[in-house]
Amino acid sequence: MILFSRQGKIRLTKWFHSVPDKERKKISRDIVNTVLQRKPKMSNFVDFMGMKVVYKRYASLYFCCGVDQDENELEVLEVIHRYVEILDKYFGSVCELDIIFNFEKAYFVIDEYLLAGQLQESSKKKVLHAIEAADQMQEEDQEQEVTRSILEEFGLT
Amino acid sequence: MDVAMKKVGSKMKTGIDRIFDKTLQDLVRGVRNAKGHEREYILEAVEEIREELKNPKSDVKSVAISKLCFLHMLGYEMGWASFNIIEVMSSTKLTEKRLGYWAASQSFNENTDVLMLSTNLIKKDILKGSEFEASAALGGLSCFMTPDLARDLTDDVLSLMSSTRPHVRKRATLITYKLFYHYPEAMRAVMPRLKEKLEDKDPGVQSAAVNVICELARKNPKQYLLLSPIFMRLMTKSTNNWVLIKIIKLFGCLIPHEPRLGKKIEENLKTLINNTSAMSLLYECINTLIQAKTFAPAGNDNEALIQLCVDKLRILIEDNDQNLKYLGLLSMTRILESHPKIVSQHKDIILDCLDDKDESIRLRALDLISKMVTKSTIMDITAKLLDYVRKTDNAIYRDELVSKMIDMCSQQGFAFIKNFEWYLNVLLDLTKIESKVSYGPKIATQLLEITVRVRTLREYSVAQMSHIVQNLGAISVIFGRNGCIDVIRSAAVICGEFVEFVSDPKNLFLAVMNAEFGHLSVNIAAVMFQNALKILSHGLKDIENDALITDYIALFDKFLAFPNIEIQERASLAVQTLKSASTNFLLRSIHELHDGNVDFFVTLFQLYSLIPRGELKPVGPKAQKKVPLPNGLDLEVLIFEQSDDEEEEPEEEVEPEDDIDDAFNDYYAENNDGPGKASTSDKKLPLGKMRLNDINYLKLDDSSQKSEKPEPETDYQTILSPESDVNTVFGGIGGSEKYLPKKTKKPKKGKKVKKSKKKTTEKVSDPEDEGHVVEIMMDEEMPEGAEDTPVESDEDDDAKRLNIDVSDLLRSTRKTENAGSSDEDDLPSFTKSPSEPAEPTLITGLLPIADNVDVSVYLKFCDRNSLELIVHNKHKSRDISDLEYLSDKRDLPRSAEVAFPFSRTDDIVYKGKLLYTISSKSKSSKEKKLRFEHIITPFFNLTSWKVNDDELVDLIHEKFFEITVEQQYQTELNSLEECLYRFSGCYLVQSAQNGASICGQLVSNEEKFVMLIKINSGLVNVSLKTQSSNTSTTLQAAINSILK
Repeated sequence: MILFSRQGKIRLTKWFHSVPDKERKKISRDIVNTVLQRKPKMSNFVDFMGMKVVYKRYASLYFCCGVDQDENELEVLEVIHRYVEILDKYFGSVCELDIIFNFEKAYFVIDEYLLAGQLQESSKKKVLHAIEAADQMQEEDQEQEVTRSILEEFGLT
Repeated sequence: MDVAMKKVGSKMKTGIDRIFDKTLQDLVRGVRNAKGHEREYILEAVEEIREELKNPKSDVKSVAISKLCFLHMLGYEMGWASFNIIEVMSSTKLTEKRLGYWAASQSFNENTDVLMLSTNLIKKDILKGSEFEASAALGGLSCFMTPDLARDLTDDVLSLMSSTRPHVRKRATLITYKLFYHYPEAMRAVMPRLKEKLEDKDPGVQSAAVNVICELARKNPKQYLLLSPIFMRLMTKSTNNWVLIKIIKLFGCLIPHEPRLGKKIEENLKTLINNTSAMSLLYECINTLIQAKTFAPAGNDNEALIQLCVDKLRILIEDNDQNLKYLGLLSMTRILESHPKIVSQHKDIILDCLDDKDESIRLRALDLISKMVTKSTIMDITAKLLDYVRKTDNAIYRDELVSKMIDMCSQQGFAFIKNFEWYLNVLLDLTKIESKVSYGPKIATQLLEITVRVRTLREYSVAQMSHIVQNLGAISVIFGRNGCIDVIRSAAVICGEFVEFVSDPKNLFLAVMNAEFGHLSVNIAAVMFQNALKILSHGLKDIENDALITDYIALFDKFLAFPNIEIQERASLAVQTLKSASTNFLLRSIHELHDGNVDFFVTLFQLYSLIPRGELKPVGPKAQKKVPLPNGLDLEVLIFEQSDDEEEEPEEEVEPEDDIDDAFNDYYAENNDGPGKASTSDKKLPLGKMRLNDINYLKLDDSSQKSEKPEPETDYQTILSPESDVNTVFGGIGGSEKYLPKKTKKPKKGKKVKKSKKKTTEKVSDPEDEGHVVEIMMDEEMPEGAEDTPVESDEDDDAKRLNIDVSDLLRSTRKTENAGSSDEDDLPSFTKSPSEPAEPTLITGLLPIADNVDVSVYLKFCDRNSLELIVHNKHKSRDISDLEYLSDKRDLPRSAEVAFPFSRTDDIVYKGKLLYTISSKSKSSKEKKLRFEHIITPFFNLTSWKVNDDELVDLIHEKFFEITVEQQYQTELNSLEECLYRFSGCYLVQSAQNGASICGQLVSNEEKFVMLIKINSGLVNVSLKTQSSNTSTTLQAAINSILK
């Protein structure tokens, strides 16, 4: 799965198969080029090196998934759409900048949503719930950390 | 230098200075601002990160790692930091751990060597960590799984699958796919658990399990047939579209392997199609339904369903969404292959798509349209396409349009074209269209082809072509621009060949000769020249004086200096010919005086003409049938004989057939001594017939084959080689198996059989073997028409990789339940199928138990409760009197028999004594005794459980029967009937000419069994399937006693 901007800048890549770095670069570059060439009135599916690329543009961002030939294209589109919806909920009306600056968060969302290339959870609420719970844990963790380091600063521990 | 300074600087940073370190956000912002010198900025940042990673504080490290991840996304190397990532992964803080696993999932791959270090860390996080730690670890693991990790962590993942927290359970379930992918052995341990998860109470876990199995089934569908009842249930219950799509896709994969599934899910799909509002689900349903239809047994066609699909697809195509349009057309193409009529109802809308803005949609529609033409629609469609050709300004698309158009019209030898003049005009219209792309050669070939083939068209064609030739100058310019210059060549050839239709050959000739050849390619010019000569030779017939000839010679003369040698040569040829013609002209008048018949110019014309006059005709596809068979040609006669030992010596299988071709014999005599010649007795039968008659053909060699090489990896091979030795059980029913290549076949002598028998008994309960036989059963018991199922050529690596036989593990766990009722639960729509298989019948018959010179004693099984002892008088001239059995006295006349009924006992051994007096006219009477003792077989003592053929197949799919034993017996029995009587008490499920399937259930332990029996000239092959090895042993003993 690749996200990239209208200018062809990659914003997020997630590989569900291990692919060597060099090939990754080449594949992403090719996909970006193919997809950017397509006109808005065209269908959202492209055949690409023995797989299907399903893409969708949201504002200035393209969301792109490379899937097997026998995958259901419409389902993949729904997967993308659901991901965007979740991001939207999570960031509160998401924009490209949110993803640029919080790109690790966007990854965490994918991680909750898709696992090993499969849809993990189809319910938006549950995905959000899981991420928020993890975030909360993290914050608590950090608060403790902060208090501890403050204490450290003052030489109290 | 600058960098070095920085290094020193950063080393000195301590405590409070760290606040000024770049955060991830700073880095992102920095990269965005550093337009133009991005690369330098990043290299600098990488240096900083290197320094930060040396810092002992874990928070500094984790920030550095996350920055590195960002740079990695931009295409920079981060492999060098693998070890630091592991450090961050092992942090005790969740934030850092999460970052660490994330970084690992982004950058690690199978070759990352530090992964070995992380095994224990992951193990710890999975097992002892909090929900979040475990879930982060699983997330990372899903990306960097390796065979080693998979092997070491299988057990841990397995235990996580039963975690109390649905979130963890779900992730663990999903990760099993990766586990199997890298370490297929894990399937053995995990599969049962995975199967449980299909019915997990948490919908997320359930859908995860469905996803994994669906993915596995796409690689190796056969193994998952066993799970179809569960999926059937899930499909009716589930309301989650995501899950439904996966399940339906799964069925789509299974259907090619079990066409009957299609029928079962038909109704459900129909309901879904009618009710769902989700397009993706609708699309999946339609696709699977098409799949089901494609593989449906012949003659079982439900047109209404296809109609429904097509109607729904129309809605998709009509939709404004380009995606739906595209997919609609795609599916339409798939239906078209089987149901062209239904699709053609929607011709209008598909034609509209040719106008679409999206090229891929247009191409799809074009593809579809070109496949759906018929005699009546071709003109319409072509006219529309021609319109589009004129309208479009996209060269590639136009090229595609034209070539599709031509393909469409010329398919099957112009089968759809009624009016060739029309087609000729279409072709000429095409030449008028301005285009950079050259489809000219194609049009030129077509023009030539139809004119030559269709005699009635020639006159019209010549008229059109001569027009082209006459206006060569102007037209060649246009054609040149339109890329159709080759058409000129065709025009010339047509005019030259069919010059008899040319209205004014002389003028045409002059037009050619006076035209400018210069700008045409040499090829075309040469053809033009040659044909000019042909035209001339025809026209010259009418010439009265040789003055004209001299003029013509002058015309050719100027080409003798043409810069191209080809033209020169032709010109000189023409000049010479004409010169001799001129002399001949004089001769002709002399000849005319004598016999008036020699026409030099006709001869000349024929000399040049390529095509023999009028002998070429179009041949319709059915024309061959109308040709009567010549005497002495018998198509049934074999030309080649496949000899029995083809396996070893394939080159010798070709046998000469004397009454076909003696030359063959000669050839063989020279080249080969023809080792097969010795056995020519049945050579002349056609292959099919011969095999039917050949009793040996059905003789199987499985026992010897199997026992000779007990392959350890049978269960791997089963799926790869589904055709096997057992598949002729019902040789009389199916057809296709007969043409399968025969296995090595050797005459079986008694000794050898015994040997092999012994060996098979040794591997009685070899579990390796069972998968094998079960797979075969599936193959052979498929309904008629299913034989055509293409052999799965699933050669891709993943499929092989995941090809572990897990069917054992998927077997129904409820085997102790009454199978009859559980079957109905599992397969709701199945029992309602219209073609209900025949009810099994109870086998009743005579079982010989004792015999002496006077009488033979049989046991007759009448029904479940009563038996009869039948005593038969063997003598034709002696009477038996006072025959006493259990104090019941009868008389037994010659060659007669008498029955003593008695009720069944529970004794295992049935003993008795017969007393009788035998007397004849010559001798005095004599009292005799016959004692008999017979072990009652378990078959006499069965419950009334039975299955029909279809249910039996289902049971075998579920691997209901665990143990399979095959054994061969040598008996005196020659008919199947005789053999079957010995199994009195069982139910006969299905029988064929030389094979039958039998079922039954033991009273003692309520276990069920089935047997497949094949009989072949005294050899009886029994393959017994039971639920436990105990039953298997018991039954084998019984079969032994019956058949020996």
